[in-house]
Amino acid sequence: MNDPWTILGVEPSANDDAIRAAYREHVKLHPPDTDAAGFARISEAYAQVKDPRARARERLFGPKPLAHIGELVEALRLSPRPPAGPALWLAALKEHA
Amino acid sequence: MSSRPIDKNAAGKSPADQNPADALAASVRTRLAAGRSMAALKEAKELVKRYPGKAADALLAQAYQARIAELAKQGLHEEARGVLQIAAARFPAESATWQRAGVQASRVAGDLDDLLLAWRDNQDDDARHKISAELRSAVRDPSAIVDSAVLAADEPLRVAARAVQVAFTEAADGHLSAAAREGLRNVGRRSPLLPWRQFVLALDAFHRHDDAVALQQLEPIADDSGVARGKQILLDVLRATPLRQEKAPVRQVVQRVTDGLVELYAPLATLQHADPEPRVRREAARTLLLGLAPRRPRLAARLVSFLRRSSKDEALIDELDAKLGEQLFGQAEWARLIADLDAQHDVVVGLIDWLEWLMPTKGHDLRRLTDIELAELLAHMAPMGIAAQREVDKLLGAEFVAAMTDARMLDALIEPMFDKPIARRVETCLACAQMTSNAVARLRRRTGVTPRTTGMAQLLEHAVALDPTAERFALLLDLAAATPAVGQVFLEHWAQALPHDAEPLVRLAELAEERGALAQALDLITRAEAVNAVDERVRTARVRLRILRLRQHHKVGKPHLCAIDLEELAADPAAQTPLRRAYIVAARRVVNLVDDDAVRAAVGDAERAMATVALVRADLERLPTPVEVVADDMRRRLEIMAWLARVADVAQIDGAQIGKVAGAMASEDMPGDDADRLALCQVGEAHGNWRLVALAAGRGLLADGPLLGRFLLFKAKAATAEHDSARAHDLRLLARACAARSGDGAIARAAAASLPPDVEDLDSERAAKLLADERTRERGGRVSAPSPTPTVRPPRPRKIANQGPQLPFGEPRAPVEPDA
Repeated sequence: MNDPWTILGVEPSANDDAIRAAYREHVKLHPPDTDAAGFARISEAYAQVKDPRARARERLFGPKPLAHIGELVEALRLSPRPPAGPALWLAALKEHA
Repeated sequence: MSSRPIDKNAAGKSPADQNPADALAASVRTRLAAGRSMAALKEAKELVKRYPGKAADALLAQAYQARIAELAKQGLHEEARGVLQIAAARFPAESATWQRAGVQASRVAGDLDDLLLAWRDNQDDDARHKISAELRSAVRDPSAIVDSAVLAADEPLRVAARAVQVAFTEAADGHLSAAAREGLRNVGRRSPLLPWRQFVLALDAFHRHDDAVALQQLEPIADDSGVARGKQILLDVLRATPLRQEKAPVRQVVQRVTDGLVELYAPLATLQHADPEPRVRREAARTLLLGLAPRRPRLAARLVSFLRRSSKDEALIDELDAKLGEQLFGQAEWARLIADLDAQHDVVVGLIDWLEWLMPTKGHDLRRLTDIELAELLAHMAPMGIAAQREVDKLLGAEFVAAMTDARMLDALIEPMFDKPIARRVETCLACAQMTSNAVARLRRRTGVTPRTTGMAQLLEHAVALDPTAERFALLLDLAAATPAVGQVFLEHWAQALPHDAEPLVRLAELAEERGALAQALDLITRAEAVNAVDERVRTARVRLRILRLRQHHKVGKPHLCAIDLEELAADPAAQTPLRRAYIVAARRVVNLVDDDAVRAAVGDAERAMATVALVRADLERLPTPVEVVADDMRRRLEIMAWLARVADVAQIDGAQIGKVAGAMASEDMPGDDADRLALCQVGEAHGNWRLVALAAGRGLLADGPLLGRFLLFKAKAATAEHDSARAHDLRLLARACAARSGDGAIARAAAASLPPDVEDLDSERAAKLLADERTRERGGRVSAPSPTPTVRPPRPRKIANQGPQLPFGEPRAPVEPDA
């Protein structure tokens, strides 16, 4: 399981309101009817940190050590992918090899 | 002017004996081939100036073309257009060439008007197919079609381009709306914009982490299409391919969409390699961790703990600890991972890791944690601390003290033992104890709690003060079990901190019950009922307490209070089991005594009630131990045992007493009625005590009641157990006959089932004889040797008419002679 804070895009020190707002924002981006996998990922992350005690446990005693290096690759794959925006993309697309 | 060197490099490359014009021309060609259009153009101009001619002009025109193309490629479209105009003015005869160059430059600049014009004016399928292929390669921005005035506003290609433009903008911003996705339906399978549609959908899937869909959309995009660059970027990111030598815009996009993690792909690929060289592996791990730590500290900590497991990486870890330790030490997960790893080998060292983390000198003092976080941490540390405490006690309490006594001085002890494990352990334990003491002192300042416990339990006390939970209170009570007074205080805190939890009230009621404060206990149970009326412990505690109060009131001679207690008890839904109802009936008889006869009769009842209390308690508390029958004399024991056997499970009666009871029965008059005797038979059978069965059944035979068949069958079982098979056979025959006569079908069938199938029924005479013999034996008399009972049914006797009525085992009446 990847870091729930990373998935929700909030700091581990974020409070209830910030976490709930981030969750709602992500649910809008990953609605269950069009992106079930994304919604499940977001919901699982939210379930891990919505309760203050669970959040404290996750923060203090969170993910286990990596079992193998492939877990790191997977964790990085699940890391947020911030949008680059159309201007940057167009500049890159117009770039000749 | 002629003395000015043309170009140092070109001059250097030209052979000394070569014609200068040829040398210069060769230099121009070389530079054109190398893509250095600016230098090539400059030299070509010089060539034309110094050595004019057709060859020089052709070379200059070629240099102009290259320069125009390069400027267009670099996005310097104005400059390209200017050079194009100069070239066209200088070489008007080459107008076709400049037109082609102009078109190419325009396409690179995003001007697709010539292609769109051709698209508009050619409706022929073949022609359109060709134009479509060119457009697919040329469209690097859908706005080139959207903004073109060549196509009408409702031209399908322009509509599709607009849809692609909207969808691309949204996908590049991280979220493709349903409407924009729907708009992409305007892009058909044969549309020149098909690669764009696929790219937009891939980009959207990429941002949704749906990598399978992203790859599926990217796969059909041709490598010569206008979005091929985008395809390659996404594929590299999805495959975590290290960044190649890319130009700034591409690098910026990749950096952005990977959140900067692209820099880690190369070392990650090295670590994934099956068995890289140690030096290469170490360097990759170092790069990876240094890059990961500021961006993903939790992930970095996990990686470090992974690397620490590998003995091959010890040197690397030492180095990383030195470099990254300070940087990451503030992270709880870092400390936790390190502590967990250490605790696997040594719980004391693991605890010290956590204690160190809490030290203010490290700059990560308690104030950084919320109350809930600190409470979680302390609750996590407490069990470790208790394990460590045992270690400390073991070392400091036995071996250490013994060694101290011998060595007299600590230094004298530690010095020679320093290289031995025991000395290091002692040192570690002392450090742990000292750090715990410091941590507790600082915790006290934060929580304001003065611990009532000692050692590591203090950590849990502070945890409870910061964030009370039922689990922590329960653990704390376990730790404080040795001191009931402290436990009482914790329970009161628990009840106060968690008013909706019935558990502390039940536990407090149990403590009050142990002290004999039944009123207080019942009050607490009433409060617990208000919190959780369906809790099994609450319900059984209430019944138990009411029984105890009833006994207490009865003991002090307050029958009116007993009556109230009984009414409450009878109305209690939890007291409606058969056993509890039996208790209530017995208790009611005890407390409603009115005269001396009743008193005498009730003595037995009281003892029965007492025994039932024990049963009820065992039932309520689910105690597995059998009930002990308490009474002064054997007669009473028999009576109580029989009564218990009637109301309760016979297996609950203490089997050890049955032997004593059976021994006493031979000399005692059997009390009670047939039901008691039968119950005793059942007790004896259940416990395998056949002597008790024989005695109880024998008393039943003498009574000659309606249960005679049952007693005979029990007697038969006892005879079988004593290996007296002939007598057992006779007794079964007798039991079958008696049971049949008294209408006890169950016993008749049971007796018949244990007999051979063809055995003859006993006649009355034989039955009476056998019964009389058994009774004689029971009274202690001697019986003449029995005649063998036939085991095979004899021929049926001739029916005698007018036979007199059969009396139960009496002498048969003389047959009445028929009238003449």
